[in-house]
Amino acid sequence: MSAPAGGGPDGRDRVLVVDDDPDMLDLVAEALARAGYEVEIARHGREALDRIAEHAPQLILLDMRMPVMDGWAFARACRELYGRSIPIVVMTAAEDSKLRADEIGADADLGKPFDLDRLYEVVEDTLAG
Amino acid sequence: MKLEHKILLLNAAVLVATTTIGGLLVLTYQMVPRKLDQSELIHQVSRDITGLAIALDDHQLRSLARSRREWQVVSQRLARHLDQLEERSRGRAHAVSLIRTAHREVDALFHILPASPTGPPTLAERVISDQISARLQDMIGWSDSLAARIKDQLAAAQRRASAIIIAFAMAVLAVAIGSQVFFRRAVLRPLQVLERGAELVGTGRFDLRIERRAEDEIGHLADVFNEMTHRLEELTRSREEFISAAIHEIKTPVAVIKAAAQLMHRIPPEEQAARYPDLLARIDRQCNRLTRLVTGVLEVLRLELQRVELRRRPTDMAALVSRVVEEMQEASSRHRLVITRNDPMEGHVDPDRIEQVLANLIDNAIRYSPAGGDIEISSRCEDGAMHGMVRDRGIGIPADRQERVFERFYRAHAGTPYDLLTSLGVGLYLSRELVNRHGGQLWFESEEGRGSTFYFRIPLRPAGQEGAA
Repeated sequence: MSAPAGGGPDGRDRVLVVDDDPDMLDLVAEALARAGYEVEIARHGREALDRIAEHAPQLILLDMRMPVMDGWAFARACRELYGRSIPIVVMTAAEDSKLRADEIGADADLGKPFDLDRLYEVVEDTLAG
Repeated sequence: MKLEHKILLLNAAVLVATTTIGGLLVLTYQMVPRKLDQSELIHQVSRDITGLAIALDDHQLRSLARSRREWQVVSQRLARHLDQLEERSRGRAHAVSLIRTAHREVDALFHILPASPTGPPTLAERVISDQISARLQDMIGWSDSLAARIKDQLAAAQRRASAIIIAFAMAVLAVAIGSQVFFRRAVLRPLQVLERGAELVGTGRFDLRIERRAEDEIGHLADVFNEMTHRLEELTRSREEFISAAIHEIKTPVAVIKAAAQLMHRIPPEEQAARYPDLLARIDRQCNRLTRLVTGVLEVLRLELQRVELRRRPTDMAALVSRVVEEMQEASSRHRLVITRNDPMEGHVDPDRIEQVLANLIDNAIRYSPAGGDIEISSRCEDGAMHGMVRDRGIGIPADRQERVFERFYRAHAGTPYDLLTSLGVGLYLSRELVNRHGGQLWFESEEGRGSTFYFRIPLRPAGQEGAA
């Protein structure tokens, strides 16, 4: 659970969590923060694009079904703006999270509900490339 | 053309053909006994003429008395037969008048036949006898030719009758084949296609459509069939969507509960007292959400099986409204739920179902006003009924979708970003069904971009008990 040396200004990796459910958003953010990551949050795709512009995260945890701008639209916009420089991990309660991840060309997937251990593992692995 | 009309036309054609051919046959056969009659008479006439010849011979053999008697009798008989023949052939047989004239001639000659009772015939007698014989020969000739003509006519009638019978048989065969072809093409084949189609639909092939071949009843049946498979296809698709939406909706609160529980393990003891109440509140809230969701799904399934039973009991309606609003307020911090009026009243209703209805309406109001803001709730007592209202200032329902919002599995916002606000498409359907079961009504007013107001009216007592305290 120790914070890996990352690309942030203070040596910590910055993770952007995007989810429309406020409880889920808070809990995932807290779990990552307790593991030593720097965490930004957004409630939908458009907010997420603003956060990226402000904070340049090293990883995005993305819910798919959201109002205003959903995961699919966000992934498209993000790829257009930043290419594949920021890895995306899809977290969704849909039946097949792997399929959703493939749809948007994400780097990994987390099917809801998930264990926090699995969350850390996927985040670590994806950051390590 | 309609099948009914086609069959009518076919029957009319068969009727006309049968009548015509039958009539011809009857006419032909009616002629036969008349010709046979004439033939018989001609035969008699021939015999009579021969009788006259015999009487003449008798005269030459000098049996004078017998000869005269014989001539007399035969001559009368011949005249009678000729009259009959004339009548039967309606004067059209020329030979008859020839024979008649010759007969008068020979009769006159016979009576002037000089006769001496004995001795050989005189010259005059021989001349007259020869003349009579010659005329009698002529008469035999005419009668023979008439007989031959009548025989020919009979044979012709027989040939014609045979031809008509053959034609009739051919016509019957043609009609049989024609109607067989007609029924096969217009009825049997399309019915077989429909039958096979129905079998396939029975095995779940709801994408099946049947080609409409004619503008008749069976063509209409094909249309009805296609309409049915289309509805089944839509229903199946919306059900599948419902199931995957339900799975998504149920896993979402479970994910929060699991994350909260696992996070609690990772919080150091010194922080637990400060952090736990918030996490427990979140778990509790998500449990409520999950309960509502599962209840809703089960209610829909029960409604489908027609097995929802109301458990009515005395209920403080004002307290019910306050309780639901309080609980729903926890679901969103961005919306303010405002009770503008809450009349005290006691209802004899199923409180769980009414709570469900109010919670559904408030839940929808929250979902479809993503910008947050006030949601107005009011409950008024009037005419022995509760008049409820939930008003939001959200995105509203597009006019072209308003008619369908109460359909099961229908989501007014499908295909828009708000679709992802994950309504299961059963909330309004369920709410209206539950209000209807209470003998009430549920309706709404909505304008796209300006929000929706849902109204419901629920009688405080079941029908027939309004007067009872």
